Amino acid sequence: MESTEELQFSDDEEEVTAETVLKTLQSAWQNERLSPEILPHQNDMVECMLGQIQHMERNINKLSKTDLRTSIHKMEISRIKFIICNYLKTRLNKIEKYCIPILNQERQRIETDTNYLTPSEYKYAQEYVLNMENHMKNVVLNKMPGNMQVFEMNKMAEHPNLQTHVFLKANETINGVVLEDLTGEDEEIDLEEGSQHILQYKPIADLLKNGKVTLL
Amino acid sequence: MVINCQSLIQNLKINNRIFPKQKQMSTENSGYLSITDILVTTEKVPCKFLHDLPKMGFLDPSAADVDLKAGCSVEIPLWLAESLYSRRPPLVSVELPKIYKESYREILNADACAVDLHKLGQHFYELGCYVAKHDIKSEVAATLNNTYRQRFRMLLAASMSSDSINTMQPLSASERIQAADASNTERSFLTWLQRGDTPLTTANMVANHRKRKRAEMEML
Amino acid sequence: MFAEKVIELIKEVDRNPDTIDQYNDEKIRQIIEEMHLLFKLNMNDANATTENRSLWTTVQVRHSALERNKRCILAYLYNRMKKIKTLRWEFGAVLPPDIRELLSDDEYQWFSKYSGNLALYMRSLGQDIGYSGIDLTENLKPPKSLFIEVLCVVDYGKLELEDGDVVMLKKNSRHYLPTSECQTLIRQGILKQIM
Repeated sequence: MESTEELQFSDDEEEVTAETVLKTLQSAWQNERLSPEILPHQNDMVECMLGQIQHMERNINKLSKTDLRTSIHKMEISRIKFIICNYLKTRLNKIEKYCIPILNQERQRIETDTNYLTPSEYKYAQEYVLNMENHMKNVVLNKMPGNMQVFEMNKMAEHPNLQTHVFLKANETINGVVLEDLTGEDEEIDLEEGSQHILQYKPIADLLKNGKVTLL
Repeated sequence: MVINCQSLIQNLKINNRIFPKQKQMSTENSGYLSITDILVTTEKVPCKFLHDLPKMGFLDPSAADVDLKAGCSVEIPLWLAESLYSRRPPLVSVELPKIYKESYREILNADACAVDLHKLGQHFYELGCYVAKHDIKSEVAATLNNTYRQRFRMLLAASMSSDSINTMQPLSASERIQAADASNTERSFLTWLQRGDTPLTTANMVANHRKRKRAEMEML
Repeated sequence: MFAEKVIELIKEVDRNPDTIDQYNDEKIRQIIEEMHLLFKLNMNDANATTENRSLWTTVQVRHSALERNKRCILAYLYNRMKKIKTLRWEFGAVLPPDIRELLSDDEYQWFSKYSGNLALYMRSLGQDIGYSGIDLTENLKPPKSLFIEVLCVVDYGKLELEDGDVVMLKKNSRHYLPTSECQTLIRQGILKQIM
């Protein structure tokens, strides 16, 4: 019989951190699913959580198959894995859909070191667009009359609809959020801490990226 | 509740779109590669030609001439109308298709639910957004908005009914999609309430290809 | 003749949003032919515009039709690409032969490239911390239980589980399996979850 100490998944201090990481990841996942555009990546959180899973898996292997803790921990692992997978997949879907504008903006963001994509995602996006361009050129564009052969990157671009409405909750009190009226007149509103709203996405996009609001 | 919220958002989305005067439409459906937008721009609109067009007589099926003469009115696809209209000077003036004209606007404003958009305007809202700018009185935009507001309740009812949405409802194409989405949300919400779980199922395309194969086998 | 044929292609995509049809090689060829014809007519008339100014507008109208044809063909290809992506996520990296047949050779090549790029990305996940990557096509639904009861729909053969046990999956046999290990088979329509 192994001692309980060895089976402890982490000491108290780390336990708290792992929980915070999971919470951060969970809210990143929720925001990513609900926002129309791609958000800055949370690769640190993902990697940290993957490390945690690895740690847990190693510990489970030390337990006997019939130990109740095995199934509880396995369940926990598959829940975390689901969140990670779904989070990454949601990002991948947006990267594919809006690949052209995302790559254009990302090139500028990389210069200022404020990139939204992870290096792997960036590579994936570049390769994706290249494959799309080559396919269209090989199959049809090269066979069209001379003046029709160009792959018009700007026309092809699909853009996220930033005018869509979202449900959100203010994490802190925010004063003076400027909403653009349909008639072109601006309106200013204050969001109180903990209050919930339905607003257009565009005016609150920056607040979301700063973590001042969470999407619901 | 879930369905109410979702439809509400849809509703707001539409409202944004219906003010083309101030804002350029920027929805996911108006892109270069969008099948929906291509189908919308294939719809025909009545146009009056302002200049002669040599060799283009075939655009007017009722005329036998090789050339198209200035002054004649022809129904042409929206994509062509838009492109001719945007020339400087414009080569055509675009007129409103009948469902956006005053007589229909009156009916729509009185009781929008009575109009069968499945028959009269598959792309009622989308086409409306395009032609609204050709309306001198600029009442089309308001009518679109008003129509959707009135029909919203009907949409809600359609999404709640257990019948298949395609069979009976007098809905336009985009209304159908909204009602089907809402109905799916409603259904999975109910399953979730009952079980707190949704079962794992065969992937959509896999299932559909299998169905199609079976149907093809039966045909043989 | 005026960008009408291409709409038949578009309607084809629109009609069956949940399945992919046979790649319509013949129609694409015809449309490109129409484009070359329009282009030729335009070249001739463009040279004659010095004598007849109003021919210039005719040239512009044909040019619009050329642009329209181009847009529709690209939209056709693009929407097929979207469906082919779905095939990768739902059927996996190896397509059943009857599905493979529906794609053109170029499309199949694109499928392989897409699949390769995706695999590269998935392998890179967590690489920095010595993790061997994650398969994003798994873990699709929030898990409720570790084991589920499943019914086998086709004769599949042996399935080796993570712990080394081997299960024989025969048509109409019932099994109690770890959720994580039968997800993909359920998605591919080989197993069915019994509630």
